[in-house]
Amino acid sequence: MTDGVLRVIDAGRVGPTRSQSLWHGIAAAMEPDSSPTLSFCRPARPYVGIGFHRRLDELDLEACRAERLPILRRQIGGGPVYLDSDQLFFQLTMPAGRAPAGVDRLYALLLEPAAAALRALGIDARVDGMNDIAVGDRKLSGTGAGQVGGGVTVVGNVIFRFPHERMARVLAFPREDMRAECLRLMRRYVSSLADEGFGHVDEDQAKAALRESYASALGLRPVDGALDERELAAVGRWQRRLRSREWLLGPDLPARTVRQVKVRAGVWTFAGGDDGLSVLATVVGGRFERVSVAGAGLNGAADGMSVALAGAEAEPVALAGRLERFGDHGRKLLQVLEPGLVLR
Amino acid sequence: MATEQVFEVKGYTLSADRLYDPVTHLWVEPRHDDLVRIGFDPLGRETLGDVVQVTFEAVGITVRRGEPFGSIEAAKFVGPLVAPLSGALRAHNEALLADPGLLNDDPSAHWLVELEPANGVELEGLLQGEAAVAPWFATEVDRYRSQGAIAE
Repeated sequence: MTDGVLRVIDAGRVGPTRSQSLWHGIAAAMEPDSSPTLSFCRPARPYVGIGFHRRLDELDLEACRAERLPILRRQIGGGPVYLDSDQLFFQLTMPAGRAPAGVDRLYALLLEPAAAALRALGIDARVDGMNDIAVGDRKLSGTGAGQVGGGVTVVGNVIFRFPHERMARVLAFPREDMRAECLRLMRRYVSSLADEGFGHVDEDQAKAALRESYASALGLRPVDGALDERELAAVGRWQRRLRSREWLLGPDLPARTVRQVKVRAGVWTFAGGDDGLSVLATVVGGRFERVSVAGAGLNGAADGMSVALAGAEAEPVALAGRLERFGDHGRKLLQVLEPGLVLR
Repeated sequence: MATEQVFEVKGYTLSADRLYDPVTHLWVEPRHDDLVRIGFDPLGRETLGDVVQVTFEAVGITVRRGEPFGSIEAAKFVGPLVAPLSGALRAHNEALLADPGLLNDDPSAHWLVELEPANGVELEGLLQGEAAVAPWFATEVDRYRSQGAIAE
């Protein structure tokens, strides 16, 4: 920022690993006086990305193999995502010492320009919640952020088209009706430029809008750039790291008692069970939209509990009130539900 | 059991018995067994948002001040946990690994790791006691509030 420049690097179409190592390397090589950098790339082939703190068993590894989808772990957060050439990736990276303090403020500063760029293209996009870019109640861009070395990066994508079915195929589910529910939610709440009637917007238009918007928001002059030697070396190191089995396996994380898939801010589905009782539930806007309880030992209470929970606030005290009249069955169900209320 | 001495700075509760690192916003609590416990000060936690995951480097590994001893995730942001001291990691807080959300309730009540400091010199560089901690922390609160990073 000292030179008033927003460096813009367009890597074009690149392989899956390069589409991740590019910005990891830019961030890793960033020094305190480096210029903020806006980078673009588009994966030439489809693959699956997974957040740093996620277990690989959230993915159906057999399905990924069958579909020949490489899996790459990123050093930012969020869950597994399907990525392909119908998405333009963008990343804004700046020295960690100059990034806004506070994660919510970081997103506010560095995602709003992306939403503004989409608006400049005629799409009624806005930042929704802390870090979704949405049209109405539909998510239009996946985002995430992290600090890699000396750089803080906020990443996002412009989704031209999205294959919901393929995404649902690569996720692992403990039961097939959860896959169907996840697909229903994705179709409902994950959109694309094509789905919104903007299929005519092309990559160059999107890049130009993002470049203009970020430069304007940061008060910087956009200047085309290229990776320097330090960055190339860092990209190379990340290329090797991302391909290593150790990195792919990720940190040793405890298994959760529920399988949970977040579809967008405030929308998630989860399945859990214990001691013969099983539940599949969907939360939308803080309330249970759908609940299905089953269990051989419930003596006919399953349907009653499902009905009692429909529309309930997804919060332990509220649920306890709804389940009180079911006695031990209700208390047991609450224990199964509670871990699913905590979004990870 | 001794009662912990605390003091208030602009609405935040801090401990007179702990040391604070102004760089990382972590507290360091010396233990009787030559180990220290490390945790988040209230500003460090609040600026992160709701924590959903923490991971730590392996027990036994040696870290240097300024280097990561783990990572933390909140709102899809993954950042390094940067060591306020050099030393050997001796323990993780297993309760936090199982339930990272504990940090959201009260960061002062939950340590992250236990570390055996490599030397005493770095400890002397940390802030301790109300007279030293309060002015620094008050300035930090004002700075974060002016930036909008924490609520007024």
